Amino acid sequence: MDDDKEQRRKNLKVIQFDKNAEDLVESEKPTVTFDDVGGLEEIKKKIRMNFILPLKQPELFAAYGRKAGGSLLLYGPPGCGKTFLARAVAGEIDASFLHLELQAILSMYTGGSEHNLHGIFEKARAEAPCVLFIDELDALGGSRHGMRQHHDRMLVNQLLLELDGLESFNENVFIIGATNTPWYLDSALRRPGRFNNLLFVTPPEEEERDTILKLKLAGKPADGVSVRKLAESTPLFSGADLEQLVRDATELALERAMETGEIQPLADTDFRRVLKSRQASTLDWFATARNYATFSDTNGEYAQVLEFIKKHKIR
Amino acid sequence: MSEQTNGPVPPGLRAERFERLIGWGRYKEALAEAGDWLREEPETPEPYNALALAYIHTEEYDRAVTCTDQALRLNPDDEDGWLMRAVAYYSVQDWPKMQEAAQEGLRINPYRAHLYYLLANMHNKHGKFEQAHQNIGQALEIDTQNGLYLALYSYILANLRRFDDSRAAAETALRNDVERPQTFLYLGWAADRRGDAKTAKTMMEQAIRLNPDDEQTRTEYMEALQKNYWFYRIFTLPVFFRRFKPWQLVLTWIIASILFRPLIILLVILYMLSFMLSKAFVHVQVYGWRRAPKRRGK
Repeated sequence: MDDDKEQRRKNLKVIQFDKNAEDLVESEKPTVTFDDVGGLEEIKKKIRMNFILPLKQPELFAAYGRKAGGSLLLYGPPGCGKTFLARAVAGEIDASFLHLELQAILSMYTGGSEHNLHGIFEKARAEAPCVLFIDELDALGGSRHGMRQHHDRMLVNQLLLELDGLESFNENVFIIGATNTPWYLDSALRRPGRFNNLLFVTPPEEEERDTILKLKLAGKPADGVSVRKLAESTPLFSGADLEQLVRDATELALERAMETGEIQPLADTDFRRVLKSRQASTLDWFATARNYATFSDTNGEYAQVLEFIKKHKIR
Repeated sequence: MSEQTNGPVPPGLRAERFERLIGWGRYKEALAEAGDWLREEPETPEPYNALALAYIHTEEYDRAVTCTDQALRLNPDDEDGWLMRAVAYYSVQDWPKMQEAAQEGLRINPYRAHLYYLLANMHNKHGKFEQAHQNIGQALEIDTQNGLYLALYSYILANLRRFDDSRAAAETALRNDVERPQTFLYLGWAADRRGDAKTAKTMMEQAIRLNPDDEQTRTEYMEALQKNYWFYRIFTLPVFFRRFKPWQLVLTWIIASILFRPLIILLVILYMLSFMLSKAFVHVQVYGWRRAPKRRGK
């Protein structure tokens, strides 16, 4: 990284809305890049095409009438790295990262939530280039019944206004939405120019699980563990599931160490014991997603989900 | 941007967050929110009722009833407490207790339309259509434009064989509510009772689009698809036979089986064939040539 880039990166920051203080709070700087994200090549390619390259080669994209900025929606089972991916985007384009959890901006006062939302978008515009990551986007359109309530509708309208405003006068602001339940989203949010790019973030494949497990086991006495076999026996496990698996197995080894008074290395048997009582948390998500993809997907938006289910023979 | 300083979350905000979480279907989080609310205001019935509602959604009905016990201990005239209690007992089909809770709620507030709706539903399930008609009429007198109540009204009218009125009520229901899957389920059943398989299928399609994750809705949808195959439909009780009481049908069946035994055997075989064939067609139509997904426990 050259000096100029280094200097720019120093100025980058991660900003979050603090629920208790009801204000924007800066936390750490984004340091992860696409190199830190294992797999998900298709998604990375799409992000590069839509987000990164327009910023790096603006002339080329301008010739085709394309500007830097825009939005995409990441969806998939929980714990599969949607937030991590969004951070990597920020790191990749040397942009500030604004992390917004919609629940945090809810205010009991009329207009309060909309005011908070506008404040976040204003901050994003001021910090451009900036990635604004809206987590739990479904919280806005989470209920069709709820949407009848005037104040909920107001918040959706405010978000629509901010997104449409983006197109007209805010370049270099990248909006990434994330949701575990895209089917709950208000359809207005998915029109062209808003979150019309839906990207399915899948659970890690075997190779990626292998990498994740190695990362999680690093620094632990786990030389005897057959990581490759473990990766094979954990299909559909999310990153979060794998972390929990390692944590539980470590606890078993620790128990042994307490009993013997000596350091006991992690063993395959520890993992086998844990795996007996633990299954992939993504299964529930796939069961629900399959129902939406089969019965409620009029535009074929979740075809990728059905393909994944078919490929991995999920029942 | 800040309008509040640090400190405990105001109760109004707790209630709003809870309602939103319930609306979003995030029941476990709603349960946690209600728990926090209860820790802050253990002397009021509202958080207990919120907990009861969350437990109803997570299908933990015993706990829901316990919460209403607490709410009603704090305020025996808390109408929300009685409503939650009625809903919990309705869900476990404990009809005497459900009726008792509903009557008590109506004694406190005779304008609580949803309690009449629950009573109407109960009577409708038991085949007491006149009583159901009376109760849903009371609910609609209070909440005249409620699509859900109108849909149930349409279903009850169809059960009473007042088909034209049922159709008219269905149209009004659709003008008022096109967002609730339950509304479409009632309208689908009403159309089915009227012998209108095509409308029943359309209604079930809407219901499943809104709530594909509900097993009952999926089953009803598949059945509606099945009934759209004529070779199966002719074997499901035609509208003509529905005017008879069950015992009359059984008696007719016994007499017919004695008089025309070979014909009856043939009919049974044909029925079984048409059932299996239409079911297979529906499966291919919905899932393609894949196996159906496993049923999940809650």
